[in-house]
Order: sequence, then structure tokens, then C-alpha cells
Amino acid sequence: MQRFAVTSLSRNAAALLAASCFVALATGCRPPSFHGTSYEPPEAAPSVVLQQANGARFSLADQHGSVVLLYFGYTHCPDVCPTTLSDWKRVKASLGRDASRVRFVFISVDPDRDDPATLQRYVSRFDPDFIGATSDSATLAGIERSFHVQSSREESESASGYSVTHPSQTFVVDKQGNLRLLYSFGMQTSDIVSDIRQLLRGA
Amino acid sequence: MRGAILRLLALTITLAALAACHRDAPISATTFELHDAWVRATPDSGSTTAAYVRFVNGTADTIWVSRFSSDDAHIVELHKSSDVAGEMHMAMFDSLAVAPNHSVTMRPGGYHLMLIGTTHALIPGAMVRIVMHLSNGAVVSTSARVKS
Repeated sequence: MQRFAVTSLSRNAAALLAASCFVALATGCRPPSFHGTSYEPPEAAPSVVLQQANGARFSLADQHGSVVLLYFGYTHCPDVCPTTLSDWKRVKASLGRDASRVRFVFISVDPDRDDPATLQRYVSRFDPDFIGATSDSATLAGIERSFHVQSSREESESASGYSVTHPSQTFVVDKQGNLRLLYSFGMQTSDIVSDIRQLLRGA
Repeated sequence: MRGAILRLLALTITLAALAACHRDAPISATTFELHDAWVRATPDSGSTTAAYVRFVNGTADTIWVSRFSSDDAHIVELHKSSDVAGEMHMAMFDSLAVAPNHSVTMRPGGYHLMLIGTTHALIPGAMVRIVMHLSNGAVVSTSARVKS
């Protein structure tokens, strides 16, 4: 008798669970699952105000409605920075029309060598829609602090001059201006595309 | 007891086989070879870009590779990028060691050749010849395909 009661209860619980799952799936209440590292909970992105080549101001706060990818690098970086921009180019191509709602922003943390014009020429090699933006050292340091990262100049015997140690991650800000995801260097572009599509859908 | 020893032996062989799966692909070469070289395109002369090569050492000795050069860039240097706790560092090296019967694959985010001061635009599809010296006295070269 007791055994029957337990079985009955289990069946009812299973049915309830199945119904809950169905409702959750049907209403799209599943928590989003991303390939990148998620900010849990999402947090408001810090203020980012920078200069662009044409003298225009870039403000992250003005990008509401778009998903924004942010990377801190420099133009004398021959390896990981062009690799990241090259990956972004593939991401943009895969997004097709949706790319118009995505901003790709490369922030130079080497203001001594990267004036806004040099920077924009560099990022435009990869795609003319990519945004190159920078500022003075103090402003850049403040922005990096607000993202909990930092850059530092490293003297080198290289003929290319000093190198700059810089954050390796790409930061992703959603349409509402919240920091949502972090990508470590070398993330698969198909995974980035999948995540951006989710964010564009409002995940 | 004998059964336990046999099981331990079987486990050891299995673990060794699994470990081998994570090593470089078996080296079929019996000499020192360069493969799959490529260089990232750059539309301007006088710019800096990176090249990547796979070094295969089929000899019985460690080979040190150094003194890189190219007619398509004023200077070629060996560098390595390293992601250390979210910070990307880059360091310059004089030479690269390739152990006997092993290969080393340069790739973005790791070892790379820095081409400084390109003598002309490097357009996708073009080839860039890179020359290097080996510790056994040989001078070898490879043609790196330019990719975007």
C-alpha cells in the first residue's frame, strides 16, 4: 500500500516536472546558455568614452540596442590582435544582416604610438565598419580599471620597439548596456556567432 | 598477486597509450623539415606582421632554429605570446628548440615570427620566403603563403 502511494507520488511529480519543462521551453524561459564566460548576474557596463579617427566621440552608453564586442590591444601587436580582428571579420560575415546590430570596437592601449587615425587605418584593414578608438593614458587606465584589467608597457630589444602587455579577453556588452560575456583568446568564431545571435534575440 | 600485476601492467599500457594521444602526431620524417608556413596579410609596406611555421625534427638530435630572415621584411624576429591569467604577454627569443622526433607548431597566441618593416604589401595568395639557420649548420627556407 505504501509502495503504491510512493509510486503514485513519483508519477505525479514526474508529470508536474514534465509539464513545467514544457511550459518553460514553450515560453522561452530557459536560462540562456552561452559559449563564453557569463557575468552572473549581468552588470552594467562601465562608462567608456573615447576618441575616434574622424574626431568623433565613441561612447559605449550610446550603443544601446546593439551588441558590442570590446578588445584592448595595440597596432604594433603582430600576433594576437590581428588574429582577434581577423576572427571578428569572420564573425561579422557569418552574422550577415544581423551584423548591423553589432559593434566591433578595438581600443588601443598604446596611445604613444596609436593616434586615432593610425588606429582606424589598422582596424579598417580588417573591416571598414570596425571601430578603432583610444584616449590618453590616464583615461585608458581608468577604463581598464573599471573592467578589472590592466595594460603595461614592456621594454624589449625587438626592432619593433616596446611591447604592451594587454588583456587577452574580448568583452561582450548586450543591447541593454550590460556586461554579459567574456571570451578568452582563440574562442571559436562559430561559438561567438551563436552567442551574439542569442543576445540579439534578447537572451 | 599475478593477476594484480597483470592488471597494473594493462592499466600502465592504457595510460601510456592515452598519453601518447596528446603528443604531436608521429613523425615520419627522418630529416628536419618545415611545413604549413603562412603569414598574415598586410596592405602596407613598412608594417609589422606575423608568420607561422611547423617545424618537424625527424633526426636523432635536438635542432635549434635561429637567425630568421626574409627578402620581404627588413627584420624577422622570433617571439612568443603567452596568455597569463588573462594578460597577453609577448617575449622575444633568440632560437627555438625542436626535440628529436618531435614537431613544434607555431600558431597565433604562441610562438610566431615577427616580420618587421615589410618591404611591400603582402597580398593574400602571395608567397613569402623565410630563411633560417639550424644548429647543425644547415640553412633552410620555406615559402609562407599570405593569408588574410
